[in-house]
Amino acid sequence: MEETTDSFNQQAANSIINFLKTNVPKNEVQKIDSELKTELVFAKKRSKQQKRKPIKKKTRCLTRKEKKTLGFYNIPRHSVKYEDVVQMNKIWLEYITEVLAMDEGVPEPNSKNWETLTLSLYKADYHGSMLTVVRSKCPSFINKTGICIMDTKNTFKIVSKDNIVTTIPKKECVFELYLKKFKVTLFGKLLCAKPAERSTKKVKGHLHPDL
Amino acid sequence: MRQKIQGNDAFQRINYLYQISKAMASKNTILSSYYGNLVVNIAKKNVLKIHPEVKRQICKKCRSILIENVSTNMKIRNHNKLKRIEWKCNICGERKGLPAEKNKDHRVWVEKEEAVVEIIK
Repeated sequence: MEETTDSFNQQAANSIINFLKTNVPKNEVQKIDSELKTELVFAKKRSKQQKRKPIKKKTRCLTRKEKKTLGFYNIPRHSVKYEDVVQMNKIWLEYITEVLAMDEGVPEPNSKNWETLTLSLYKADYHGSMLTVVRSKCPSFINKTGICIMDTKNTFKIVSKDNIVTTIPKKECVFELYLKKFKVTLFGKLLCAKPAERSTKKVKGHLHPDL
Repeated sequence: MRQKIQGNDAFQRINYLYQISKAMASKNTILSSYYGNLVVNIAKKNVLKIHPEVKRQICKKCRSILIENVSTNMKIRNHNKLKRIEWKCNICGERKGLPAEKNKDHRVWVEKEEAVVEIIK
């Protein structure tokens, strides 16, 4: 065997067929050519089948990767200007007066209609509302004011007057709103839900107040 | 008292989000498509139908609002000897087409005058 390998190295192995002829036992030397041909046929058949297989799928919506490349997930700190968002706040005030039916007058607390008002407040949309943080576990968030631009499950994104975007966690904070002459306090703890799901979600009746 | 309508608060919300999305289309495309996405998701959650006129303005792929010369370019094309309006989204490049023959009435049933029975205020 050693002799055959040495001779193979000297010839420098231009073709694999020569190598096979030297290694395969003598009875089967004649079959080598025919067998190689049959393999080639199989390869052709396979390639034909592979070409037929792929069917073009229509992509209906953006994938996560595509969204990331378009920059849907990160809003940089200085990307949103306050002037652009002021218009949103104007539309929001019109919307919230329509939802709460403020023109017909606000019902007194402890009356029957009070509950429907609070429910409609819970189901309303907060994009474009002017929020101020009143209480928070983290002291640096207190007294931050701005217009809400994004509303996720656990955070609000707020644009303040000096064009800075800050994210504020809902769970630890208490927010305040001004609707004409009324002041509304929102406990962020109760608003912890996806904005799309909140309108259909059932409201928990009673929650224990914080210490 | 006003009359109760099924899913009224969700309709109001959709209307508001649509307005916001349209306002932000020229200023911030990311926020615009985020609000457009919310419109579709809220309608899905509450099992409501979006009015076809609103639905036509939302891009199928990235769900941003399509406004002529701001986020889309409009074209009229011949397709099998029939004319079509085609919008191409500037953000994701998705195309959206509707038939637009001159002599045919392409309105959907909801848009026709017979479909309106009563208007509730």
